[in-house]
Amino acid sequence: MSDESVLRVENLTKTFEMDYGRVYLFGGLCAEIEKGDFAAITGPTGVGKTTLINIIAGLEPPSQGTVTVLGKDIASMDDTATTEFRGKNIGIVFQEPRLLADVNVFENVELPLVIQNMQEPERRAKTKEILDFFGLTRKASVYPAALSAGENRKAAIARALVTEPHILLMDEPTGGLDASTINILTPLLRGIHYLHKGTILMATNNLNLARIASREIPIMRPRIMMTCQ
Amino acid sequence: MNLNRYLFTSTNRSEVLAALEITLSTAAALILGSSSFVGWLSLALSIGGLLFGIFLVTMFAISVQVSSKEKEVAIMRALGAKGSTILSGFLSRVALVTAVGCLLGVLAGYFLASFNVECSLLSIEVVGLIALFSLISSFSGGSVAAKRVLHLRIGEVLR
Repeated sequence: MSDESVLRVENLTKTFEMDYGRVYLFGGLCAEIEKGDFAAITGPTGVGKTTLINIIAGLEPPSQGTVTVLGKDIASMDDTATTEFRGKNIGIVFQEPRLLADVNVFENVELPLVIQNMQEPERRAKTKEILDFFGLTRKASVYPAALSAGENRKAAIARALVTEPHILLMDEPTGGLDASTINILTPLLRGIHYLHKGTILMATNNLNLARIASREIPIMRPRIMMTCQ
Repeated sequence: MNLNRYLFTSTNRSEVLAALEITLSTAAALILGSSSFVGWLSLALSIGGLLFGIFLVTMFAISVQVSSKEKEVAIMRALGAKGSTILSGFLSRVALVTAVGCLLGVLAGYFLASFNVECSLLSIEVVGLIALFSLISSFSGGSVAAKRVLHLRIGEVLR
């Protein structure tokens, strides 16, 4: 593993038991991402891109293999240590924006800083700054239900970046959006990579979007072992 | 860190139901406990049944609340909130529901028993004991249900 390595995946396999048999995802995937890389995890729907993001974030355990994030084997840590590690080092943008519906945009974006116990003045200043960057200042007091799909997505990315994480994981950041919104978000994602200077890992099945990444990690189709009826 | 303002933005219907059940059962237990005409065995069985009812209803109500907040809890866990922090948020909510329910139950029970000639055993000891048992059974019922937040499969909930 090189000194610059931020993420290392070795012989990764995830197994799911289904009604019709056993599904093997990733087929022993190996990959290494270095500091500052912008990598796109690509592949059609159902190959396990979301599962891979979840495993890297420590939200799901792998069935086989190891995932080392910033030098730590994420699956070997206990739940509390994983949660703390994730909060400090990893920003996540889920496939759906997953903003909390009962609080406004400002409070949603501020939430990771509240979780980190940051003092209120510093917390508010950081939140204002990132809302400003994403052009959401005027929407700060609005509830997520009143935002457009693109604004929801921007707020979710702002929430993931507000803690200035070492790694930003994005699961289909443009999934379900119309072409014009994708055209607005794509340069923004490129700008985030330029300004964030951290490592970005983005799962997408949009090949145009994957082109803005500096490298690609294609995921193989899953292997299925059918059960005899 | 206080995440309650993110988790509990309004009063949940199941919390109101739990508080109402605790109020009614505590009041009934207090009236029974201070009644001079009930035998010891039937008194113990009736009060035990009421307290067990409080335990079950609080457990069910908080379980419903945890289920309705699964997504919020999973989002917060994914953003780095520890399970113990979220659990303490739910437990503080259980404590609030329990305290309100018991207080109202004791007040209602005391008021009704003090006007009832059959409730001649009404004393501060009886009131204290019933309130204590009611608090213990409702808080333990709520706590059992609230502990579910520690075992959420975050990845699956957020899919």
